[in-house]
Amino acid sequence: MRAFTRAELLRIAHDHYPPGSTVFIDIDRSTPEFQRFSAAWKKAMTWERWASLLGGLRAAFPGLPVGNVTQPGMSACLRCCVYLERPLPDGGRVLTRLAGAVSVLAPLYLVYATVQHIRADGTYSRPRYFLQPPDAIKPHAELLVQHLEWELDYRPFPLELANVPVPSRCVYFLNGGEPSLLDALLGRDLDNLP
Amino acid sequence: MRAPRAWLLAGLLLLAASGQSGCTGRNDVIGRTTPEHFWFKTTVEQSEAQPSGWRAVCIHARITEGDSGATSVCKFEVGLPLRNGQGDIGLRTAQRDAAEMANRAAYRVLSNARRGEMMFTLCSEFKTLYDLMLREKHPGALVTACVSDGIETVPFDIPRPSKP
Repeated sequence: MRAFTRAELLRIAHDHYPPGSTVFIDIDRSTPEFQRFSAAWKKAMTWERWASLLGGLRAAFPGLPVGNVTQPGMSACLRCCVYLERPLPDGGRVLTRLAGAVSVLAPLYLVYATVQHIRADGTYSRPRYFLQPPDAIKPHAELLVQHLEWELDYRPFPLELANVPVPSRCVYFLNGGEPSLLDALLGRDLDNLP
Repeated sequence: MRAPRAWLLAGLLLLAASGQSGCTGRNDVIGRTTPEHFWFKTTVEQSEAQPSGWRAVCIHARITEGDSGATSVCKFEVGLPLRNGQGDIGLRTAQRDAAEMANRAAYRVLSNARRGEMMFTLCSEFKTLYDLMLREKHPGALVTACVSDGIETVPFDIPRPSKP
């Protein structure tokens, strides 16, 4: 499958976000861009293949929590997350959230992870964010990738284009700042996982 | 949409709350939102006992400037997972914490607002701070502009800062 070019990804972003700023009070819901964004979400929320993907993942990761961690409308992706835990000798544990973000605007996905140390007393560290899952969970990440590619026929988001700016576009769910292609086509702060 | 009469009543109740006086040069901020304003709607169901699910609400906060009486509206959407790695986030907990963090963030942004500062800037600062505070409390939560279709929209009034 041919990869998307930078120009193609920018065109998809421009199709779904109108010219404007990310500092604003309200969205102009009448623009063709917002209408397309809204229609994309409507379609995504009743997408049968997503429901079947979640079922497939639960079977593929037996005994592990697999959740639908989508933030509808407030990002540009459906998200699933597999929770992996490793106990530590001191009574604490390492919690790895292995996530798949699936764009509602383009046939693209990103598999990423956060790793958090939960101490024996229940306090926890701030999760560390890995845009590429660490080697320790590689087999799990590969299994998630296989499911996303087989069941959805999606392709990986080109990380080398993640930070390409999408200037002067109103990416609705940003609270300021200049959007990037990753923000526009998947979402901001993807490491914010439940 | 919530019925206008219910909103008026809620508005009167919340206007009875008081802010702090400003001998520090900060603005007075009067009025607060309450948990009852957060008419969350579940948009993603929880899957068994896994961290998952989503509930969201759109709030239209009308902010009135004390000096001039000028009003403007900050519109924001608040979303929280139904369950995260720490456990279930029940409706009452979600409402209580969403209201508490909104009040704290609004107080901090409005009490430091400069005279003439545009509402879209204040609204953006508020959303940024509220987003950080809410997700610190409940990982996975999010605050943005009102984007989603099919959720409740709840209006309420808060008087905007006036310089003492």
